[in-house]
Amino acid sequence: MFCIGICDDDEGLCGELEKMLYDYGKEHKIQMNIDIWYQGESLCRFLRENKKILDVLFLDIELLTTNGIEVGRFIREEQENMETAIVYISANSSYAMDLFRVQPTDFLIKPLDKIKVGNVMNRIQKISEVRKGIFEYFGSGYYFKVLYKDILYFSSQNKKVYLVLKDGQKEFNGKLKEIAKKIPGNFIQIHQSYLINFDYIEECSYESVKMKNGDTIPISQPYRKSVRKQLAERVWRDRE
Amino acid sequence: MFALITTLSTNLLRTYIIYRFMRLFFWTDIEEKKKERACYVLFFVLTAVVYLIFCSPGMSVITNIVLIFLITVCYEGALKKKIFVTLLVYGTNMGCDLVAVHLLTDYSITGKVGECAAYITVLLLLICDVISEKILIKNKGEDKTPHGMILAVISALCLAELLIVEQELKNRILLVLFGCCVLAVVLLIFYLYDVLISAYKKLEEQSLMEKQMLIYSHQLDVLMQSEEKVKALRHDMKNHLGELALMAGNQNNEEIRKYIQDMGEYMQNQSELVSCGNKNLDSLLNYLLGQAKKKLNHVEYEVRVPSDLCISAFDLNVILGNLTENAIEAAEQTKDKWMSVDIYYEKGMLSMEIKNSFQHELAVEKNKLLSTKEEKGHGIGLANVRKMVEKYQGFMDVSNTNQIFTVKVMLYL
Repeated sequence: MFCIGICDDDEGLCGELEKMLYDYGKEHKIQMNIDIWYQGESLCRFLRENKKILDVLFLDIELLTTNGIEVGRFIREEQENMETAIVYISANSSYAMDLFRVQPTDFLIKPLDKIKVGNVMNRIQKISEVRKGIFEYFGSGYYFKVLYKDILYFSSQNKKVYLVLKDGQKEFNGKLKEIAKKIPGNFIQIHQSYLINFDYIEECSYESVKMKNGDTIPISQPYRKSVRKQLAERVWRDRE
Repeated sequence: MFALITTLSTNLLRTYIIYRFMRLFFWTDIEEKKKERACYVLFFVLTAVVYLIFCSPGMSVITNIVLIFLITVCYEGALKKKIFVTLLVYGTNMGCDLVAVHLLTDYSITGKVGECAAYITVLLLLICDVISEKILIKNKGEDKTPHGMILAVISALCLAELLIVEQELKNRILLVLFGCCVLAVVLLIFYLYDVLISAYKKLEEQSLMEKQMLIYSHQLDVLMQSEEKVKALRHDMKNHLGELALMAGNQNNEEIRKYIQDMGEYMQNQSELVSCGNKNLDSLLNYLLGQAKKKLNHVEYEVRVPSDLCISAFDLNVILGNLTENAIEAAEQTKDKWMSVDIYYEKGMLSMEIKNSFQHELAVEKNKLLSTKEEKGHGIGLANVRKMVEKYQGFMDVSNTNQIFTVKVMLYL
């Protein structure tokens, strides 16, 4: 089940997009649940009250009152939700840096058509498949399960591994080396004692990575070249 | 007197050689030029004075090492590296000294070994410097000194000349004079060479600047065209509205739609291909893609870059200019005549993907591309791109599959 949201003040466009998405769903045999909002405020209110996480959100940048940037920020910063793939819709082809900070999957330029929407949906599906999966660990006598998509990064010190999540931190005994072996490709080892989730990178440079929660993690010398290659290939792969 | 002239002239050249060595190991430009210069002057004066006054090898060795180290302190770098460079430079100096003395004592025992040996030492040192420059710079992959080896040959020839003359000439005055002249000639040739290289570099930069101007003037034309179109439409707006009202009165929906579509098409400026709001990128791409559209059948592009991202127009031009030009050239020779440009920004990384159709097998040989064109030096464009990518500590990937040639570049911004 794919939960999709559309937020645009142009009712005609919302209806058109909804139809295109349903057609796409039928073609690819995906069950869809599509909700539509005509205002940024009502969308935010819904998200706040329902604690529901959308898989995809098609969001107009030029909404009348609460605009697309503010809605995007609300989702990423206040709700700490990196999961929802945000696709901006606009009549323009010029975007400010603020929009990129929301890390949208893509921008669609009006008028929309089947091919544009299909391409974006293909990409989103591919990315969401990578994110599936559960991490299991043994700590203080119990087995615990965590979704990979909730993990920002792993860090290790002595024989302890610290698991940094969206909401808090867990620790258990283990080796980062072992974890790195069985973890999905979404994670990149950038240091002997750091293993980070690509989705939670805010900004990266050659020497360090800034995570969504504000932590800056150094990329150690021997890892730099391979990390750079992995980052570049990761970005390129997402675009294909 | 002779000792004085010899010491001063050889020491001058030696100081210059040490400067060249330093430039080789410490690549960065330093800000405190004054301090740097003062160190070299100090080196020149003190080593000469110590040599002339004390005449003791031990003292000379110590002052030399201390002063060379003082020079390295002017530059940025780890302490270990500085100590290493100091010892290396002085070691080479000592080595040359030994070789020179050895060369001379083989031939003559007339007592003027001291002076002539000094000349030969500096010439040897110079040769060592030129050769190590060549090797080290080649390893770095950027050869900024074409035909640099000729300098080594010149130095070697002068050295040979000096040796021959030294055997024949028994007059001490003439010998010292001759040595001085040889050193002066060598120094002047080196100076001329440096001047020529920097003039060449300036010329290269100038041609890039000219291209930049061309790009900007093209963008200005594009913007003015857009402006003209909007103006013209506004001018005729009354007529258009009247026409539309008339059609609406006749309930002629199909015709109205057609009319509005025509108006939209009229507004569109055919030469404004990219408008992501980033002025540098817009102007560059409008120019490059405009060129591509003239020569190719299918040109696809997508640009998703923040309008307020700071990128140097010059650096972008080097990367995108070279890559699109190569792509156009290769695609032109194919049936499809297709190319695509995809530029996007994510998480502090600017990615560029340039693809084109290509026909013949291109050899990706040792990271340097040999194109279908047999013309020599075609890979230079790509080498420049690579240099620029290195500047941004980025990553570059060249691949080809299914008759599609792809170059991908990622820069940290």
